Amino acid sequence: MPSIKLSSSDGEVFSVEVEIAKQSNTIKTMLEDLGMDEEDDEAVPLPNVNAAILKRVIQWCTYHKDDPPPPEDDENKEKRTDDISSWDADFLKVDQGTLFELILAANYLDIKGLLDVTCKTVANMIKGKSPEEIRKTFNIKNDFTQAEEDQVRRENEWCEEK
Amino acid sequence: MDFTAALPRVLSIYIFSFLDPRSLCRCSQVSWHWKNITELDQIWMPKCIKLGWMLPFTPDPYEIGVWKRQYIENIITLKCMTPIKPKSSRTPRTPISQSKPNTAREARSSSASRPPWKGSDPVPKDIWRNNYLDNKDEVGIVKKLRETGKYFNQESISKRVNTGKHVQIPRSKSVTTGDINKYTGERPSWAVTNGNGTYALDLNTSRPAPVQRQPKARPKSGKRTNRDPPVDPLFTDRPWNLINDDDEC
Repeated sequence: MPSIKLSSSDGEVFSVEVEIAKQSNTIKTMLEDLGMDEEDDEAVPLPNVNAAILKRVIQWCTYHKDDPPPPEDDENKEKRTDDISSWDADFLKVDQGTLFELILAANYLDIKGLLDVTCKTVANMIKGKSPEEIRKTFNIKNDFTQAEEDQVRRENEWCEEK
Repeated sequence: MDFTAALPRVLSIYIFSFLDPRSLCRCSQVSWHWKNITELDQIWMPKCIKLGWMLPFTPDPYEIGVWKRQYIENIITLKCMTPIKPKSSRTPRTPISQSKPNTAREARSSSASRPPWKGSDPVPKDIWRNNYLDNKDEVGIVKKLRETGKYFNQESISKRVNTGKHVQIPRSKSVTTGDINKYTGERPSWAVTNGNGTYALDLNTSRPAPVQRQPKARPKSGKRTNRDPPVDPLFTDRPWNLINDDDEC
């Protein structure tokens, strides 16, 4: 099984099977454009991903290596957030900082499956919460004045009435 | 940790695009930055269009939150129009509606769990058309069928030939050769017949004569435009000389 070396931003080198690494469209395109050289031992630098996150991304890709390619986004379909598999849910039981770094890495490496599942996790953190609870969850400062807050609440009160 | 500050704007919008309208409205009450992001048209426009709510006007290029307001207005209108609670005492259940619903309308009203603007069927089948303009991969479909052997393989052909059965295509029949009396519905006034099968002539009705186009009066020379045909024929005598003519002379 041919493998490829990936180098994180802090210099740690990971050896990954090519088939696993190819879940990242960024790496896949790079391999297709540059070609695979058997005796080339140089690691691919990934300056936007640190070792801890890269390790987690590789872990995710290894588990999902036999998955079918994710379906194209259909604008007409309601986006669901409740279809996260239990393995993914366990995998994403991390602190918010790690979660957001995973989103950034999935975006940079162009791994749609990982990007979707991480974004859905964040969306689930928002769903069903009141504005005040959302502020607490993400540690956001309320910069509305009292009058502004009342105004905005009135604009959005349609969704609260039963 | 505020992810809208940590992540690029595109990714924040992508996360918000997973949210339902109610959650988005709560998000817009969090802070100014969240309000600005969650009221973007690119989040709300697909939600409106999915429900068939197009904007009845062209918004200004700098107008923001138009599609969110469009969504809310439509929801409020729907809430006004539909009864909040269907009273069971005022609409007593008839035995028919207790049995299986036999019309589409009844079936729709019985599925009360769905909101009225969503329709009974998420994938209505009666709007399917066999349209070649659809970007269907016809060649690919046929190829796949051939590979599985379900389409046009030798065995199926020989089987079809051996049985000697073939589908009879019903010929189109002219109405005049058929039994005219099977159309027993009331005829419209313009097609009332006498007893002997001829149409009754209604002499009292005056029909307009065919309209003839009035010949256009040729406008006077002062009022002619350059689109009118010329009054005098052009080129009565030849205003040009050919070189060959001169040579011959």
